[in-house]
Amino acid sequence: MSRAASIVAAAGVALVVVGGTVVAIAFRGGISARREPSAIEARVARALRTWAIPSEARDAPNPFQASPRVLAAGLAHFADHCASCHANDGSGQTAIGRNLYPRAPDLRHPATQGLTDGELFYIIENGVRFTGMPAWAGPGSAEGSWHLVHFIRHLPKLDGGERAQMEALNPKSPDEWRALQDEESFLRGDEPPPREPGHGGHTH
Amino acid sequence: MIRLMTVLAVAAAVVAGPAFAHEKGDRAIGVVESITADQIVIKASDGHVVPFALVPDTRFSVGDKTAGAQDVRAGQRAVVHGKRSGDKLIAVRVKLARHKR
Repeated sequence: MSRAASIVAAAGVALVVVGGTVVAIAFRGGISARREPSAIEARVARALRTWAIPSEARDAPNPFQASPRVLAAGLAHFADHCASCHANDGSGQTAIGRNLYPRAPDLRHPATQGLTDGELFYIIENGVRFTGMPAWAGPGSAEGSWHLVHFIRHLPKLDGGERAQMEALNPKSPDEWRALQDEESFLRGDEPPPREPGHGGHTH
Repeated sequence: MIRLMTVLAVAAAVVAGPAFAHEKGDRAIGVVESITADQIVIKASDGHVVPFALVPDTRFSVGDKTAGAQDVRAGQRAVVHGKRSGDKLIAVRVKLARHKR
């Protein structure tokens, strides 16, 4: 066997061993999403994500200046489109976010806050494969996504009033709308809503 | 055919799963019976009494304005959203009616 052929064969064996190890680690829990992703998976996934974002996208500056109007637009957009998984405060602590694989990240932490504006925009617009993050790009989507970038930067400083505003803007089921209307009419002084079976105004 | 139906059923379950996921919570609607530094008690119209623990993260509001525990009065109408922690109910959000002048 020539020297070149030996090198190719050794590289092939190494590739199979490394690849097999990665697959074994990734699928050691079967296809279940209940297990917490390992530190190795998280590290590899983050590295791959960084590597996969084109450098011109990474370096793109936010074309919009932060302002109360831009933050308000980002807040409304986030509450309506993002909070189901990421939570209003960006913690990822929702029924969906904490059970995705990988888990929805805490957007207030350095792993997200350390990304460039361009990286955040790219992820919002293009999504991330093999995660729950969808691609939101569409006609006219760029302005809203850049507003979201400003709002994500603001998440660590979110106050109680802003969280209350977001709760009013979160998507609601018909039952939730009815419950909200019941609450508001009761607080205005109307009759209390009818007692729900077994709970006496104490609902689950 | 059975295999196709199975695949479709699994796909439907995967797509529909998140739509059925929701946060479990507890809500009480009534008047404030009492409030202390660490507890608010709500009395529903049928007399059912529900105590909620107050924590630093508990948020108070009157209309769309942020309020605080100091704005709560006994007899005031209130809606309290809570979450269970062991055998306790923690107040997450307290919505208050405006005081009557």
